[in-house]
Amino acid sequence: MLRDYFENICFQAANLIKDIIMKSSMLRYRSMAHKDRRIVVRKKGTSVVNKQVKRSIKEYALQRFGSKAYWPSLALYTEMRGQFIKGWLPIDYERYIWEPKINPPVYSNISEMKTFDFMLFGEFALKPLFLFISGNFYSAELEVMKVSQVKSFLYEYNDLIVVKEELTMGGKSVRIIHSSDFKPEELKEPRNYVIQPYVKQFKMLNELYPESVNTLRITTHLKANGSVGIKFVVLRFGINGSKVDNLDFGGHYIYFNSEGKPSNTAYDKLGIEVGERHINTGYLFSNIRIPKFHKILDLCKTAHKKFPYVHLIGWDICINDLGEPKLLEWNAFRPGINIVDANFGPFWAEDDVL
Amino acid sequence: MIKTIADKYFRFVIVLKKLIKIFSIKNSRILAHKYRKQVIRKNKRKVVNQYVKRIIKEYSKHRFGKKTYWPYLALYTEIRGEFIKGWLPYDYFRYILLPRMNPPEFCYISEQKTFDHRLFGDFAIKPLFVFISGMFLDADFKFIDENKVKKCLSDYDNTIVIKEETGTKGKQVTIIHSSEFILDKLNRKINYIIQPYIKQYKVLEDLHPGSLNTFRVTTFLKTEGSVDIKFVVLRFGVDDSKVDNISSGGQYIYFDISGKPTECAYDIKGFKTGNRHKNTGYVFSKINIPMFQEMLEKCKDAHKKYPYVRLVGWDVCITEQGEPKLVEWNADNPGFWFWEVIYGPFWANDDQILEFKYIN
Repeated sequence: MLRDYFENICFQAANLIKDIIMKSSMLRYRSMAHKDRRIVVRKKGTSVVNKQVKRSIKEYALQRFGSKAYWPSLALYTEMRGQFIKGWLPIDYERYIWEPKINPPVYSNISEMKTFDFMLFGEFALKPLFLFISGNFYSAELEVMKVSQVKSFLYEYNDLIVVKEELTMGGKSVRIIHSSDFKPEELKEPRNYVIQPYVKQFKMLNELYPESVNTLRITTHLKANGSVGIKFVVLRFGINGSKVDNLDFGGHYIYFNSEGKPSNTAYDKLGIEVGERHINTGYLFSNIRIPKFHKILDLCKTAHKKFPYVHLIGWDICINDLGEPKLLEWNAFRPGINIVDANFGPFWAEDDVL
Repeated sequence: MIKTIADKYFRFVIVLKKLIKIFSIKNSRILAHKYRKQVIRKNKRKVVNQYVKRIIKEYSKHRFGKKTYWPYLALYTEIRGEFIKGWLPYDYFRYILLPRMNPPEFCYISEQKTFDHRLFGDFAIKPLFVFISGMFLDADFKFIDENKVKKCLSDYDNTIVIKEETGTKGKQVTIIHSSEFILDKLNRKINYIIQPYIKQYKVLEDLHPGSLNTFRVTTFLKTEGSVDIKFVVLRFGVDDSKVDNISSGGQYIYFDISGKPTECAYDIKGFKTGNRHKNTGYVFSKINIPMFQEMLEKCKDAHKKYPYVRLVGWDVCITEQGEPKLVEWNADNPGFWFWEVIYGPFWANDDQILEFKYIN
């Protein structure tokens, strides 16, 4: 009884602090939105958010989200887009209010288990060479492998491999090494790892920018009637020697419409246009044609139906040198990219999604 | 500034977790003392004298690094009538060892009952429907229209079981006739599994027909990747109970690895309850389960499909046709101490369990 009472007190205290932290994080996002807005205005040399627009934004925030306080990221989107459009979701609302409802953390947690992807999605996922789970090596089919077998296989494999640590995000704890350099003892036992072949990407994507694996982010939405819709498709790529395509690490993106036609220009992480050609390779973005574009979308939709516990999933897809789409990872935790919503949305204009 | 607040929050949460753990351990030791007094009163004898207590404390210090783990070991000694080296005290098992063997982030999935059939295939009872994210789906996760669900259940014309995804210990389980199914009674924010009602194997039905009497098979994934059976018990209901759960009054008998049952059953506190079922008179030693080995193999194979946790408790029923079927699996708290006392120690020679590390 005493334990229950104590646990209850601790639970309440933890919830209270969690609430304070959530509100602080929302404040931080608002402060970042102000800062980013100033950068966008400075770069564009013009501002569209005057008093009247700000009033419209605040009214929309109050009416749709119950508080005017959500206005800063909407104002940022307005500066990015050049006009205010009703239907946008402010990032602070999206991350802290909306996302936990549509993707309950208890279920979205599974998308962090990278070693589980092949078991969950089969051949759509990149078939791992080995998995390292609970201190043992396994084949992709979960057969236990001896360390000597792993070493011998990788020595003969004689190619690049990717070693990813589980429960990490944003390209952290990913190592690209030659298979002969792999040392099993370097894997830290309480953690799990996936050991994958290094993907040689499709010729066109390699010509776009050869230093990084340039991936499609396809966002699917599970609707109340059980159907899965595509919310948006973007292609991300690295620049200036970067080894990753992630926007937070300086990458750029182009948007694809539902027919697979790319936007003429690319955008940076602030949603600012960065030109019609890749800044290093000079590749013309409008010439990009993704092979099997509609098949890729269908594969993502089918995969989402295999995990209907969350409503929104961001799929990171690479295309190998044979033109086959392969799932690199899926994101049920923070699946959206809010600048895409700002540049090409609103994707969530209907109120029933809230 | 916000980063500082966030850091403070995370530190505070860690401190809170540690406090809860310390408090839980202390509280469980208080319970151990309380149970021990009850056992002594009931047995009218005391086994743990000063000499035995000293041996227990020495063992505790030597194996677990602290003498403070002695209360559960003393309780075990009173129940069993002698002290046996090799036992794991419950407080050590539950709060120190288990989180290392079964990291909490990999245990959530065992609470996802709607996912069992996807994960373990036909070893799990094939659901009629699952209700996930406010939608009805069939066993293969194909969307089913609500009107079709109503019609199917009306045509099914049999008893069904509706389980809430996060329900434990037989709670949040409803058994109704399929024609009585009312869709609006489901909470759209909760996931459910709708299963056929299992008619159990004749022997188990004769043992106690009022409850679905299930085996708890506990498997352990060893460091080299093979899976061992740690112990097997059969739980059954008594009196008018509809569930076999021990914490709801159910009793249990132990089966050795060859499938031979013990003569006597026990209750939650480890007290013997006799050689026959108190209501049906069924003699426990006569329970014969021809598909016992098949059941163990199925549990081992299932564990190999989810090697993220080392200790899993499988609740398995035997159908009327003699087929072992998974009712649910438990990675979060596979249960332990009363079985360890009566039939253990299960970890006496398994030093590898003391080497597991935490994920930081």
